[in-house]
Formats: sequence, C-alpha cells, structure tokens
Amino acid sequence: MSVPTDPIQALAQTDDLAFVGEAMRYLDGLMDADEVAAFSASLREDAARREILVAVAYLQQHISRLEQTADERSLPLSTAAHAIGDDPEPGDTDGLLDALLAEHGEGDGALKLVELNEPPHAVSVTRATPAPDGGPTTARPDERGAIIDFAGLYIARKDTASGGGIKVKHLGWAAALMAAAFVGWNWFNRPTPPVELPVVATVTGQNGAAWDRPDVIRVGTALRQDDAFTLEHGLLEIRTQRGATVLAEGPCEVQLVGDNRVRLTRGKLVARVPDARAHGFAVDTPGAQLIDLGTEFGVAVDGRSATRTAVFDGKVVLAGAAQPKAGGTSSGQTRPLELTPGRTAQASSSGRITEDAVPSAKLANSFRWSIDEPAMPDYVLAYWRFDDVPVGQRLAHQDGRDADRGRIAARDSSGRNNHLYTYDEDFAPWGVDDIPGPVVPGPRLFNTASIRTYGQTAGGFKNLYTRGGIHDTSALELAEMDRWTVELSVKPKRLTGTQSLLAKQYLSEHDGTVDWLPNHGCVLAIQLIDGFIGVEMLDDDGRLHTYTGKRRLSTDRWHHVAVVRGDDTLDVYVRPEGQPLFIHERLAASLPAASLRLLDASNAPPFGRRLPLEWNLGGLADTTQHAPAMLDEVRICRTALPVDRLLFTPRSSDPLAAAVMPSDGWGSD
Amino acid sequence: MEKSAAIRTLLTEQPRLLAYIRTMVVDPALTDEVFQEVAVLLLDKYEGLGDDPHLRGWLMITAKNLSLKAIRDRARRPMALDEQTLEAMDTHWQHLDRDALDDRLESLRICLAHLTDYARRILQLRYRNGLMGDELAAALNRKKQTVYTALTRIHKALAECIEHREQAVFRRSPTQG
Repeated sequence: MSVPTDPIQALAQTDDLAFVGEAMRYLDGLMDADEVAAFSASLREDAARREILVAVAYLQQHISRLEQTADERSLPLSTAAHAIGDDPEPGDTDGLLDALLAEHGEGDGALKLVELNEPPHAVSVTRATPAPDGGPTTARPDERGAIIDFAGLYIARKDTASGGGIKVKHLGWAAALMAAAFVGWNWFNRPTPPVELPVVATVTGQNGAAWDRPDVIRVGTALRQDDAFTLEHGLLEIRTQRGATVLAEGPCEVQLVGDNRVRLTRGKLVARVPDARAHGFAVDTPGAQLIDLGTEFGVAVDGRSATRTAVFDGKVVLAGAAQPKAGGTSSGQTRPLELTPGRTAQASSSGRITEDAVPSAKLANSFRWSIDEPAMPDYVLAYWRFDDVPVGQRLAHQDGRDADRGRIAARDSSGRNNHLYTYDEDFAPWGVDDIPGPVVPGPRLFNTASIRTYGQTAGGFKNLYTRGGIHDTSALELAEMDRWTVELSVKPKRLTGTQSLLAKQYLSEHDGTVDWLPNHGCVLAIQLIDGFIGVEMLDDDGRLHTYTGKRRLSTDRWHHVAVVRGDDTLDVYVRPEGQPLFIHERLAASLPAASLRLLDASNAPPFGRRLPLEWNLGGLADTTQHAPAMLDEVRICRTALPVDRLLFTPRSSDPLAAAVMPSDGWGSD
Repeated sequence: MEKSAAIRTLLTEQPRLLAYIRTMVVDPALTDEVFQEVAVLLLDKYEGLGDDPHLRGWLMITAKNLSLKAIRDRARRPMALDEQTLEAMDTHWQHLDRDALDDRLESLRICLAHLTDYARRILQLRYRNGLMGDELAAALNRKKQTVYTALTRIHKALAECIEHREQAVFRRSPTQG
C-alpha cells in the first residue's frame, strides 16, 4: 500500500451501497454494540471497505465545512496567523483587517476576526464585509460572542445551541487565536433550523410551581431548545443535558437557549454545575452573561432588568452584554469580572458591571437551593451567625439589666427568637471581619462577620447568653433534645486552661436554697481543654461525664467543630480551615442511659428543683471558664446530623466533600 | 519548526484529522474536543518537531492516542472500532493522496450545487444543523431508514460527481491503489 490511495475514487466506483449506508450509520452513532462489532469485523477483512469508510468520513468533514460556512466564510487561521505574525500590534484592528482583507477580500462573504487585545482580557469580535464595488470595508462588532481569558483559561462564549465553553491552555497569542478560530468554526452563523429543536433540559423537580405553558409540570418533562416559560410561583428544578442544575424561583421568566445555556429575563434562579461536562454553563440576562467555571451561583434580574449575582462556590465570569467598538481600543469598556465565593456583583441593563465593595449577604442569602428543603429546617433551635454585629465595635449590650427585654447583641437566624445578649459594656464582645470563610457551604449562606470574645487591648471577660430559662420556657431547653448537634467555628486566642465555648447551665433549688448544680451548673458544655475539644455532660444522678478529643486545635486558624450526640454515641468532627475534610473522632460508643435524663427538670433528688439558666457563649454565667477566641456560625440542632448536613461540609463536586477522615489523618501541632 | 508553519500544517490537516478522529470516537462533540487537544499539544511541542511529513505523522499519532484516551475517559460503551481494525484503518489514512484530495474541495462545492432541492435539504439538516438519526428523520418527516438510504445515495453521487469532474478537468488517470 505504498502508492497513495484515493478513497473518493473508491467510493465513486464501489457497488457496495449497503456498506456505504453502514458507514454512514456508524459515523452518526446509530449502531448498537453488536452492530459495531460486526461492522468492525467486516472492516478488518476488507481493505476496500476500509477505503470507503475513510472516504465517507472525509467527505462528511468537507461537506460539514462547506455547509457551515455557506453564508459566511470563517477566517482561516493560517491567514490570521500570517497577517498577525507572532508579535502583533495590540489594538491595531484596522491594520489587521486590512491585512486580512488583502488576502481574503474577494468574494461575497464576510470575514470574521476574533482579536484578543493585549493583555488578552478584552476581546473584539468583528465582522468585516468588503464592499462589492471596492468601496470602504464596513466593520461592526458582532454581538454574538466573545472569548474571555482568565488566568490562562480561555472561555469561548457562544450563543448557539451548541453552547458551552472550551478550555485552552494559555500559550500566548497564537494559541488564543487558534482557540478563537476553532470555536469560530461552529460558532457563528448557525441559522435556526425550521425543525423541532433538540431536547436540552429535563424537569427534575418542582414545589408549588405553576407555569404558563399548556402542559402540566411533571418530573421528566423534556424542554427543547428555545422553550421559554414564565413561572408564576413555586420552585422548578431543571437539569440540562450537559449536567447543570437550575433551580428557578417564581415569579420568573426563563428560556432554554441551548443545552448549556439559559436566559433569565426576570426573577431569580440558582445554578449548580458540578459536572465538568457542563463547565461553561451560561446564564444570559438582559444586560449581561454569567459564565460558570464549575460552580454554584445565584442570579436575580429585577424589574428594571438589572442583574445581580452572588457566587457560592467555584468561579463565575460576569460579562456585560455591551460589546467593544469595532476598530477601537479596549479603553472605556466594561471588563468582564471574575467572581469568587462570597462576592456579589451587578450589571445594569446596559451591561455596565460593578462589583459590590461590600458583598450583599442579603441578596446572597435570599436564594433558595432546594425544592423541598425549607430555608431553615425545623430541627434548628438556634443559629447565631453574627453577620448583624457591628464590625470593629462592641456588640449592643444591656447596661446591666436583665436580658428579657434588653437590646439584642446578636440575632438568632433560626426564626425562634433565641437571640443573644450581653450584660454591659465591659462584657460585650467585639464584632470583627475575621471570618472562617466567605460562604457557609452547607446552607450556602454568605458570611461577613464574626465575634471576638476578648478585649481590644487587654483580656477581660466577654460572653453572650440567651434569655434565662427562669423567665420563660425556651425552645432551647435540653429536655427536648435527647439527640442533638452543636456546631461552631472557633479561632482560639490561647490554648491553655479550660475554656467554655458554649454551655447550658442550671441552678437547683433545695429546701428554699438556690445554688448551682455541680460543675458550675453545666449540664452540657462544649469546651476547649488545653486546646482539645471537650464535652461535659451531667447526668441525672449528678455524675459528670467528660469526653476529650485527641486532636489539638491551633491559634493560627479557624476550626469548624461539630459535636453530635446520637442515641448512645458521641462524635466530634473538626475541620481546620483550609483542610478539605472533617476529622472524625468517636468520643463515646455507648453513652450511659442515665445521661439521657440529665436534663430532666423535675424535683427529683439529690438536687431538688432544677432551675434552667441560659446558654452561655464564650464563658460561663459565673464569669469562669472564659474562652478568649473568635467565634462564628454557632448552631444548635435537636437532631444528630449526618456529616453531609453540617454547616461546613463542602458542597463542591469533590466526591470527598462529604467524607471524613479518621483522627490520625491530620497531624496536631 | 516555526510556529506559523506548524499552525498552517495543522489547518491543512484539519479536515483529515477530524475525519480520522471521527472514525474513532464517533461522537461529533468529542471529535471537536480531541482535535482541540491535539492543537493545544502541538503548541507545546512544535519546536521539537521536524519537517512537514514528520509533523503530519505526529499529528496522526497524537490524534489517535488522544482519541483512544477520550474513549477510555468517557467510559463509553464499546461503540467504537476495535484496535485491530483501527490498525488496519491507519494504513489507509497514512497513504491518502493528500494533494488529490485537497484539489477536490472546489469540485465538491460545485457538485453540491448540482444536487436536487431535496438532497440539498437533507444535507443542510444533517451538516448545517447537525441533525442525525431520529431527529433528522423527524425533521424530514420520513422514516430513518429512508433518510439514510437517501444520504447514502447522495454521498455516492457526490463522490461520482467529484471523480467525473476531476477526470474531465484534469484528465488524471485513476490512481491504482
């Protein structure tokens, strides 16, 4: 076979039409596995057939090429590379066009030029149409696409059904051009076919949703390209063919633009794009495009068509719809913005982009992430987020009064009004912006502030407490909690001594005398004991049970801590900030049954009538066990949460996200 | 090798490489992806590559390796040809008469213009709109088998037209394979 072969000739001369048909079916992916195997075997034995397969594949590519560029010639890359050379003049679009048109000026087609300005952040996409009579060339910005480079990653923005982005390593100018040219091949000029459009997404769930389409919303309902709906109310979850999940919240207007692209004209949606196949997923809004780089984000379009977005995981590019001017430089244009978790930005209806200097937690925390899970599950008894505290100042305090009608120092986000108070100015912790992370990944909440339970310059006892149980029956009473989870993020100031991070205290009244129950009245205390997480529980017989973790926290970073009381188990999970996994330790495999009753508020001996006191954060009510630390995201739940429901379990696509590591996997200091 | 020369060769080889990759991975989107990967790799390696034939060989080998990797990575059903068949196919790809094939692009354009309206419409739906299989049949309101029989005849007719024009215009004698 050393003589050059000519497959087209073989195809022209063959009588084996049946096999030509087989080749077409194979190349179009229409064969099942058995047919492919038979097809493969027949090829192996027959050189003429192999030649025909080559011919058909070859012919298909050329017909594709001609068909797709029938209306508009794509710019051959060689020409672009030749005209530009390796050292182009940044922004010299006119010169570039002249050079290109000199070689490709004939004919009736228009040329496309994708130019990456230097540095290649801004992109001009220009269409130049040579005048038939040799007159001046007209050039205009093409509004249908852009290529955006961030940190060496080129994302090709497309607006056709093919959707999606491509990734090209950052290899300099020519590589960028190649990316552009390759994309350009299928990118431009794909007319809307006069046929039923392909299915691009499927309804995967809904809750109270009503839309304006004639059909009833059902799980499994297929949505085709260009399908649009107005969601009057409720939540509708759809999944694109490429694996992006979109949760639309009514009222909103949504259109499926492609298999990896939606348009949001009004209202809110959140997108989750864990699947690498769907990276490049885009949301078009009236003034902007959001392009995902493997992430979770929310988008809202208000009545004036302004776009607001909040990023929860990964990265998102926000690009204004306004396009650069043809032939001009990139100055004065609104540059695309890359957003990371905890950041918010907006785009006006005209495409002007502004990042919020202070991220809008209000916007971010207004998004709904699940069709069936309420924003705040009812097992949450208290959730202190400290995002309402004054950063750089003392928290609002009580001026020495009782807590029952005083000024709230930190609000409870659970909706149960279990707010926190502080006694007076000297006791008041400080609001700080040192936080354990910009986003709390579990509930996907933005985090902006935490508290510091020590003085600005010197020490001093600072703590916070709930209303006392003496005064009212609170949902926070432990009697309701035979299983529970306490979570908090802590960055200790020191590691020595016994520090009470969070404790529930009781008094007892016996023969008319009121006194503490044993152990400072702590029936449940989450502590830091010489830098180790400790859990103390007082059982109904007055016996103290102390459990201590084996891993020491450090003062240089935040730690997410969760203590989980199951039926007869006690577990602690610790995840140092920056580590991907929780470290898990089982503190007790079979808790004494009596410890379940430790919180009984009866008058049983030996302690007489129990008088519930408050929960104390950062130290005990009797001003002992002060815990100088930074604290944030403190949550009490009346259930034993699995690790994947904890506040700081990562939500990323990382399959290990919900995994835990045994305690010997992480070295202590 | 110069970068511009490497890029030019890549572009010249693009249709052949795409066809080659397509016969291995079948899926059109995957075909594009593999080709892009080849291009990116080329930009890393072009300096170490020799002359044009050397580069063309490198492109074919790289396209094959990346195609096989893509098939494996996607954990696809065994929808592709087995490796022994691919080996046999390679001989044909390696011995393509490039010049003759390239000359034929212009002929193809003219031959397409000679097709009936119905044939043009099938090709437009198939190649411009990317419809295949059931979607293509639905768009034409015909049975899938009918449509593929028509597609088969159209491609055969195009090959004959090209061949005929070549012989008429260039008076080339048929190459003996």
